[in-house]
This record gives sequence, C-alpha cells and structure tokens, in this order.
Amino acid sequence: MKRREFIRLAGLVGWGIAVPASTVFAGAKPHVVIVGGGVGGATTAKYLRLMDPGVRITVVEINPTYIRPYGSSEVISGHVTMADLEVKYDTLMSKYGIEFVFDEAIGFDPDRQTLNLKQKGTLGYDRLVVAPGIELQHESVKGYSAKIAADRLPCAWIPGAETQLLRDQLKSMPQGGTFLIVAPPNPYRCPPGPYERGALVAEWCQKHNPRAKVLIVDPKDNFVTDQSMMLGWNRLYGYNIPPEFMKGMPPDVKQHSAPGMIDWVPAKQGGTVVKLDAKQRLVETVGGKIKADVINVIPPMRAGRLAQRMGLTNETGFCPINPMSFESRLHPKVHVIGDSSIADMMPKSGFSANTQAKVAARAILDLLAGHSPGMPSWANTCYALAGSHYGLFVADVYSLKAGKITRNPGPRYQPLDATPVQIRLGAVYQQNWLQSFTEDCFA
Amino acid sequence: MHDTGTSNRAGLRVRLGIRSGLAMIILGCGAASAGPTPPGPAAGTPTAQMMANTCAACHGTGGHIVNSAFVPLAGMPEEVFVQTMLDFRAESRLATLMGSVAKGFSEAEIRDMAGYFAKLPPVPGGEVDAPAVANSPTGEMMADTCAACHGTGGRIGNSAFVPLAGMPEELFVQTMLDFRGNRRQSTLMESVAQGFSEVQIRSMARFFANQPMVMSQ
Repeated sequence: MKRREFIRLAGLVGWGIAVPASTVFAGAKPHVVIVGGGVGGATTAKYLRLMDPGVRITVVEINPTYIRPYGSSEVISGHVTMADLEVKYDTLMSKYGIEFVFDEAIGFDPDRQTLNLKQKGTLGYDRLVVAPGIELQHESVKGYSAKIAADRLPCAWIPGAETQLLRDQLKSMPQGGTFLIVAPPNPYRCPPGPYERGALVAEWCQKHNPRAKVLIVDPKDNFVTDQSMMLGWNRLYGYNIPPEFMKGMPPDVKQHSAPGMIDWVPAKQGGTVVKLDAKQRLVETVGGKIKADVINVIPPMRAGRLAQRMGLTNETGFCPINPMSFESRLHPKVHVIGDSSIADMMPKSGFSANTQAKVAARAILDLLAGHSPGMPSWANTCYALAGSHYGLFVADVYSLKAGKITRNPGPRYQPLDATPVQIRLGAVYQQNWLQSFTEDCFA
Repeated sequence: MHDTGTSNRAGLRVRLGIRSGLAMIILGCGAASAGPTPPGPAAGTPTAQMMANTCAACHGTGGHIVNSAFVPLAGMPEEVFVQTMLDFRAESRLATLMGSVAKGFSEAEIRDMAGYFAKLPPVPGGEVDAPAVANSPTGEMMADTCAACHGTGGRIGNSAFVPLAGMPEELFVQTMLDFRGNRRQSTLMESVAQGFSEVQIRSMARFFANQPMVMSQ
C-alpha cells in the first residue's frame, strides 16, 4: 500500500529504533480507524500515538484541510480571515505517522469490522472511532433550508462559504440596519458561541455602523456565561441587564434610558422563532414579527449524519456511550466522541471533544490489550469574548460519578467582580487558547 | 526594541528545540505506556496522566509549550505546581479561569498531577526562559530593564529597592502578578508589571532566581 510506503519514508520507523517496540501487542499491529479529522478525531489519533508507538492509526476525512470552527466568528467581525481558520494535517502525518485517507465513510460492517468508503473500498479495524461532529437541522425551522442558508440567510456554524457570506452581508448592511441572530435550542455545539458572535458583531458595528442593532432571539431563557456576558454587553454596548440577572452585579452597571446596540429576547419574551420568510427577510417569533437586514440562523443540531447512518444514535439524535471508554452502547468496538456523543453534563465544545479523545485513546489501548479502562478525567475550558479586549470564560472539571460524567462543584464563570486586568487577560488568553489548543490537537 | 537578528536566532533555537523535544515527549510517553497497561487503578481515581491530559489543550501536549502566554508545566517543581494550584483554589492568585479549574480537583489529585509534571522533561533545552513569543526578548534582556532601580543583575544593597538576585522564582512571579492585579500597593510597579506577559514574568523570574544573592556585609 502506498500509504505504508509513505509512512516508512516519513521516518516513522525511526521512532521504532528510538523507542522499544510496543510489547503490548504481540504479532500483528492492531488497527484503529478514526472517522472525522476534526478536534476529536485528530486528538484521538495523536494521543493514541503518544500512548503507544506500535498501534496503526488511520484517519478517514473528507477534506484535506480542516477549517476550525472555534474562533470562526472572528471572521465575521474581520479580526481574522478564512485562511486563518485553516489547519493542515501534515504534522499528524509526518511526526506521528498517522495515515490519512481522504474519502467519505458511508457505512460499516460491524461483524466483519470493516468501514466502507465511498471511493476507496473498505478498511478493516480493530477499533473504530466515529467523530463526525454535528449535523444542522435546517428544515426543522419553518421556512429555512440548507439552500437558503447557502444563498441568503447564512448559518455559518460549520465554517465555510457561509462564514464569508455572513461577513460580506455585515459589511454591506445599510447604516442603522438590524443584524438578527436566531439562537438554537439545547443541546448544540459551542454554548457561548451565539452570544459571543452577537458581541463581536456589535463591536464591529460600533466602528462601522454605529446606529445598527444586533438582536438575538432565543428559544431559551438563559445561556452559558449568562451574567458575565451580559455584564460585558452592558459595559461595551449599553445592554440593559434584565432584573432577574442583576444579582451580584458590580456598581458600575448602568440602566440606559434607550436600549443599547445589542439586545437579547429570551423565550419568555417571545424569542422562539415560529417561521422565517427568507425573501422578505422577516422572522416571525412567538412575540411578533421582526424585519432584519441580515439574518443568521443557528438551527437545532443532532449527531453528524454518519453516526445516524451507522445506527449509533438514539431517540435524542445523539449517540449513547459508555463514559469509561466512549464505546457506543449500540455497537461494540465503535467509539463515539465529541459533539455526536451523549456526554452527560459536558458541553458540546472543542475542548470537551479534546479531553474525551484522550480518554477514548487510553481506553482503546487498554481494551485492545485486554484490560479494563482506568478511571477517566475530563475538563472543559472555553474563553469567549464580549469584545476584542474583553475576555470571559467557562471552565469545568468533570468526574465519573454513579456512572455519569458529572461536573465537579465550583464556580464556572468569570466572577462579576473580575478586575480589568483579569478581563483583559481573558482576551489575551482567548487568542492564546486558539493557538495552544490547535497545537494539542493537530501538532 | 531589540536586535531582530538575535531574536531570529533565538526563534530558530526554539524551533529546533521543539523538534528534538518531540522525541523526548514520545520517548517519555512511550516509556510510560510501553508494556501492558496496568489494570485501572483503585476505583474512583483517575491516573495522574489522565488528569494531566486535561491541561494539555492550553498548557501544551505533555505540558510542553513555547510561544504562548500559557505556562509550560513539564518539569515544574512539584511544590510549585501544588502551591500554585492551591493559590488558584483559594483565589489568592490572579487568574482568569484557573480558579474554576483548580476547584475541580482535590488536593490529592493536584499532588498526583504535580508529581507527573515534575517528572516530565522541561521545555526543550530547559529554556523556560526562551523567548515567550517570536519577537519577545530573553528573560535576561527583560531583567536588565529592572537593573536601573534594582541593581545590575538584581544585586543591590543599601537601598529602598528590593534585591531581585536569588529571589525564589515563584515569589517573583506572585509579586509581579499581585502588582499587575493591583493587589499589592506600589508606585509605578503596577504599570511596569502590566507591561509584561505572565510568561515573560516567568522568564525574568527564572533569570533572577539563578543569580547569586547579595550577601549581607
């Protein structure tokens, strides 16, 4: 096989000399096949190699270049360009000897333990990792579709052409226009994301379209980062914090006589969307009709299509797993990690997928060696921006308790009395996080 | 600010360091996991490595990171890791989200992770004081900016200013962070401290810690 030749040329065998060959597996090297080269898949591949120099690892991925979703709202606000979101697989191939097959996985044979590819036949596996991310359910919003998203009302939750379209629409929005974000119901990828995106759009408008409005309509009554984000909105964009979120707010919070640039309409104020009229750019909510100039719809989500096709999902649309190993509860020897998995209290975030990948990698090697997996540990940290110099965060550590992934008690969000230095530092760390995180996954 | 030629060379050294460091990471991890993995530890406790892996997305794979505002953890002395985490937990140390993270682990778990990181080879070449960012000066170069008040090489006597030579690394870091967070009274040190990143402060701390102390006369 040509790929094997490549690996040999890439000097992987060089490690074999430096590192004693794995004694875990006598005879044939076990083969772990990973479907999906996003954060979860890439981290699994890299950590499998770090934990075992001998195992054969193949990643099946459609796209030869990864476009990272985390931080992609910064394209819309113009802090970075689409090119800055690109992540190459070169290091995973050359330094870690991971084989890549750029093809689409279309199904599998659980008895013969083979994965079916669209063009390149089948791949045998000892363990299969499925990390397909999310599928957007455009059609579940009345009047919305994948085509409308591509042409007129971008979603841009999986970055690509729609991200650039949304950027262009913001730039050409008339002065004093309305930028409307339709926030999704739980569970969805990147819980603070819609609210950070609203903030970044507002920051851009302050400079370029100062009479514009940024409106977030929501089928929920609260969101991740809640008070800490609202405080940022209040300080930066004149947002009036609702009374029920005022507890513990610092004395500098102002109630403004006129509404600020950004506003949030929760479910209890009629924020749930009933239907869209793409041509008229009209959003009908429970609370009434809203005309907007730019409409960014973030629809409900479920597990990536491949997970559904493989029969790994249950009635929730996501994949039930054993948290010790992320092995599917529906198909043995198949592990599901990241956004597609039901990981109890963990959010659907890149960081979650990253720590789940490490747990899965360890467990897979243990299982291949005939051991039961050790006790797992997970974390999630996410820096978010209320403005390019205003950082905040959500941070959690998780443990297995009574068979469930459980958040350890403690404060999750930036304290409301955070000093200006902490807030500034949060924004610095947010940029740093993008870099170190990408390295831990892909390099 | 500084000679770019120097910084390019320094950058190259760092890059080379990363390359040679990779082998160490792989060797380290390979050694740790070569041979059958022992059965899972006693119920209820993740291994130190399992917990430490949750730090990697910010602090680098295996605690190795350069070119970052985040602090490398590989090779950090055990007590420094423990004390730092306990300070985060007690909110006595300036942080963004590390208070939340530190509260998620028990003291015993923190000690386990500390032991794990302490045994890992430090940042390639042992240069925690390698330039923190591509264009960042070395620890020594930054430390030299302190000398006009705190003495050449941080050695000063007979002065209202504190000697910095030989100051324990963590004391220097904590003090600077306290200045930066305006939690320690100062005249101009708040402004000075805000001019440096935490990684830069650490690289100065490393430099001063290795300077011979002033002996009382």
